[in-house]
Amino acid sequence: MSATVASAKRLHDEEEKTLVHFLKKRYSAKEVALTKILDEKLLGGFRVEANNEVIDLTIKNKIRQLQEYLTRPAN
Amino acid sequence: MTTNHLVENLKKEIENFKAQIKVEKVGRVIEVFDGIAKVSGLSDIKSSEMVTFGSGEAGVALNLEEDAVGVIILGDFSKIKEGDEVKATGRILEIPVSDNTLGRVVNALGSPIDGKGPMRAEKAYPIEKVAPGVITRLSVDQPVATGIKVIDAIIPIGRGQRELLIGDRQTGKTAIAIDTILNQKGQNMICVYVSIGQKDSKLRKIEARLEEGGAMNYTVIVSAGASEAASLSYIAPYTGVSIAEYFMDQGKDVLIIYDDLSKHAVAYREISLLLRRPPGREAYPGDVFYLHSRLLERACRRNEKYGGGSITALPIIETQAGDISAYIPTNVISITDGQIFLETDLFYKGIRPAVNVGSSVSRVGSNAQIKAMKKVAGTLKLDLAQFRELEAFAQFGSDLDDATKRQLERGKRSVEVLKQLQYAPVKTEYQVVTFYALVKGFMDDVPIEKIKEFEKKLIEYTERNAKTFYKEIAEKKMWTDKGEAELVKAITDFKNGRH
Repeated sequence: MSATVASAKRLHDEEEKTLVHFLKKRYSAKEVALTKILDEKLLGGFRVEANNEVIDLTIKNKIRQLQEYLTRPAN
Repeated sequence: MTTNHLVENLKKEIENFKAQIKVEKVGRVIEVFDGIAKVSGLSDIKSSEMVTFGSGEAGVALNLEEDAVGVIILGDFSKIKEGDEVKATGRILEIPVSDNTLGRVVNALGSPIDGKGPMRAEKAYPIEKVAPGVITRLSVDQPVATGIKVIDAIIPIGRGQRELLIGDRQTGKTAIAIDTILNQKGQNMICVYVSIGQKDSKLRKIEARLEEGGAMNYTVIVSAGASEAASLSYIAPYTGVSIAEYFMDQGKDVLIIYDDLSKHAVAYREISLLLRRPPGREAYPGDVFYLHSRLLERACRRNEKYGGGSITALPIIETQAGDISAYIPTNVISITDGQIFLETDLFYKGIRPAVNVGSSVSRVGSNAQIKAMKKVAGTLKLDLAQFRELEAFAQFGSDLDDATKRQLERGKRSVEVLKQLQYAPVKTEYQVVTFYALVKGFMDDVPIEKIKEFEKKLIEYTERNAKTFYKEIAEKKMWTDKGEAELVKAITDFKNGRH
């Protein structure tokens, strides 16, 4: 299967290995072809896209969530 | 609040915040055209689930196909391109609701568009909801005073009723709706006016008119303009009724006007055809009946145990050349609890509001009429029906017997009394007095062209000289012998002084 990982900084080999291992387990895949993208706008962290799913662990997403939380409707 | 205090609060809020780590389902846009997007992926999406596009636009998944999802885009679709990311939200489309919406003009997504600044939401309501069930309902027995004589007397509307306004263009359908809103001042009623595919200039005029009449304090306008996407016209009535439900949930009575459902059906037809759903009669999709029935079923009167409150719906349908047997008119006629027919011929004859009394009905409203009105309106209805029958005869010759002549004269006066200017609602008490004078024959010797003047002065005179009668109507909804005697005396005195 193929997966895309986007991050603000280049991933270390160790990090990449852990990620591939995780993806293999999660999707019960034998091989994972990883496409790496560098995007400084993400500010930090990384974001994986595989099998129509996204796991977003970037700082940018965190800030967006904080914004939503602070501007949420009062109960 | 000081700045320090604000900062402290903000800090506390930020401390409370925990970022969620979740797996999101995403798809990619395969194709975009005419406000529709085909999206791949999104394998677990529900029907009518809300999605968000990368550019921030919202959408609703309507067609769930084998390898793609058909999504209608709510808003500007020019920024969405092939390959864009689409996220499923897992929620049905929601709109923000709050008491602050009163007096505002909002779009189909519930955001203000009147330039009066942002609106703080209290809750989010889904736009699609199952209508209240049988056990939560109560039968209709409280009147909606429209202030329009012909409606209040002959085609009465009750709280929780659905009454259709139907007629050709330029026959005064919107005028009746607006007059009804204007007359709700002090009647403990919240009004929602849903404008679907109307010209923005018309909406502006209506808003100004309501503002001038002091009606915006208890009114919300929901607008999906003619220049906006068809998808917004499609959801606007559901948005309107969700806002209405928010107020009903507080136990309030709400009046909602859909202006008009013909354009709503056309918008839905456009969406359906673009989604390649098979066309049926007049090219409308197969579920166009359900489109309107599920909307109008949400009008109801709830019993106290389930929170009380009511939603009265006045849908409007525009016919083409008086053809009420077209697809959409027949559908909506069968869903509603009655209809008010407006006719071009009557309009140009000067009978305004141009209501065709013969073919207009209210199936549940008569239970909601106050007793006094029921008493006078019964005779009035009979007078008018006899008049219509005789009118055709009378054209052939003049040698009619006295009884027939009397009935004809009475009928002509009844028609005259029922004429009414726009933006001039009449209070229920005044209506009762006018109809009382009419059906008891006090107007029979007044020349037809003087009827309007007579009516006006009679009301002024009786209000001063028959106070008991007015008090009884206002408080007990029916007159007693004492009040009646006083009114008869006042009317006789008035006539004697005048003639």
